Amino acid sequence: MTADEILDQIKVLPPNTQVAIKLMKLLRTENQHNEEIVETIQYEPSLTARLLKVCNSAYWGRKARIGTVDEAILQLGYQEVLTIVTAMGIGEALTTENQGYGMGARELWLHTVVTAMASQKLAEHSKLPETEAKFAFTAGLLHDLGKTAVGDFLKKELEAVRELVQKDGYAMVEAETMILGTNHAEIGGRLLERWKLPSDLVDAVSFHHKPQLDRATLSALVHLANCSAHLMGSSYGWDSMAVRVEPKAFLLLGIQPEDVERTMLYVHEDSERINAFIALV
Amino acid sequence: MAAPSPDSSARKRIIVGIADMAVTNDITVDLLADLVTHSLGSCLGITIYDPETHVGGLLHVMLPDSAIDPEKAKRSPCVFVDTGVPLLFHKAYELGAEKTRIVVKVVGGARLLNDFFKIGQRNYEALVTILTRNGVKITAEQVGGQVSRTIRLDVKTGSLFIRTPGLAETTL
Repeated sequence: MTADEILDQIKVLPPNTQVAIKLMKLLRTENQHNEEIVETIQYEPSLTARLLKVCNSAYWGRKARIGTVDEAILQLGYQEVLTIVTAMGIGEALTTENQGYGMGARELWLHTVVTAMASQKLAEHSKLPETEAKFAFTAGLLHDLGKTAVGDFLKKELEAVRELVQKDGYAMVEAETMILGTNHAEIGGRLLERWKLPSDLVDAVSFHHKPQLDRATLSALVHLANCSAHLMGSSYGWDSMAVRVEPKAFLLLGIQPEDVERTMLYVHEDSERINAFIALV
Repeated sequence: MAAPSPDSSARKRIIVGIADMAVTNDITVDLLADLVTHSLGSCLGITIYDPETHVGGLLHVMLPDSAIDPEKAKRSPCVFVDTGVPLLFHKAYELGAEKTRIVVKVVGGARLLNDFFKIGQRNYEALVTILTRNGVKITAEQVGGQVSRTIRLDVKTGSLFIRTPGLAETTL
């Protein structure tokens, strides 16, 4: 099967993701188009209400009371508002039980948030240009979206996939490709492409298991962030450790293996942020 | 799921988070207690148990060596093997456990494919170093491999149950 054939057979999108998609498209043009951003969010009153509630929660609302979308962007910054809206938009899809991966209702969501945080932290240590580093958290949030589409297809082939992973020692993503002809990374990337998101984000998701190694790339960053998150035990499926590490990603990003340990420390330290994002859905 | 037992309603379940620990005995909590920690990944779950006093402890450590961040080790000693393990033993001694009777079991320390980080392996090596230095032996272990494990220590019996998604529960 191709990524498109799988995507044509399932429905991944919860409705309010449309706003997150529009915002991510505006990423490249932030500041110049603040009005457009505010309008986009306000177009969806229920989302605006949820956003403002979150902005005044214990974690985000400690500086000042936030009454409008304008104030939210001013206080928290555009990037942070984007990550909140994105998390609210895609979180629903990532919090359903996924039998294909043997994951309970909220386990993939925890892994997603941990990866996003690791990604943002690793970006600080990396040679990644700022134009791409600013996508780090969002790319982390999106990286496993394809799993929500693959789950049902994997469920039917579970025995074969498990044999490849548990007996033959293949990585999960390799087993998916062998059985389905495509995998969750490819499908996730294709989905973002259909949403016409910036190519950096599409590539980061498509290649998070097989990073592009011609230069420092967002896909290499998300690759390492994902590995860190798996090491921390954030992904409690039966395939939780069946991820193949690409050591060249370190070299290209100028990241030391110790930086991965420091990232794990940082993520652990900031449990408040993890919990705040997890509670968005 | 935990193995069904007739007294399951009377069990107190103490959840130990990542880089955290708990030490207890079923006398002080007045119930049958379980110490549980979820999804170890490359982390180690280290349990100690004194069968005479029913003192049980569980430590979920993340990294081998506190030298990478001594400040963090002061705030959260249970993050690291070298600072967490002494603490685990001291807490158990406080509740009456005796070093000569303590049974040590170790689970976790899994690795990824082509694992460049070797965090699981280094966690285990750091543990062996510190235990050897103190003349303590590991009684049973299930470490390494490519699975994330969840463990439960039954403080009444000292049995350690290991669960991996999609596989049958095993006992150590």
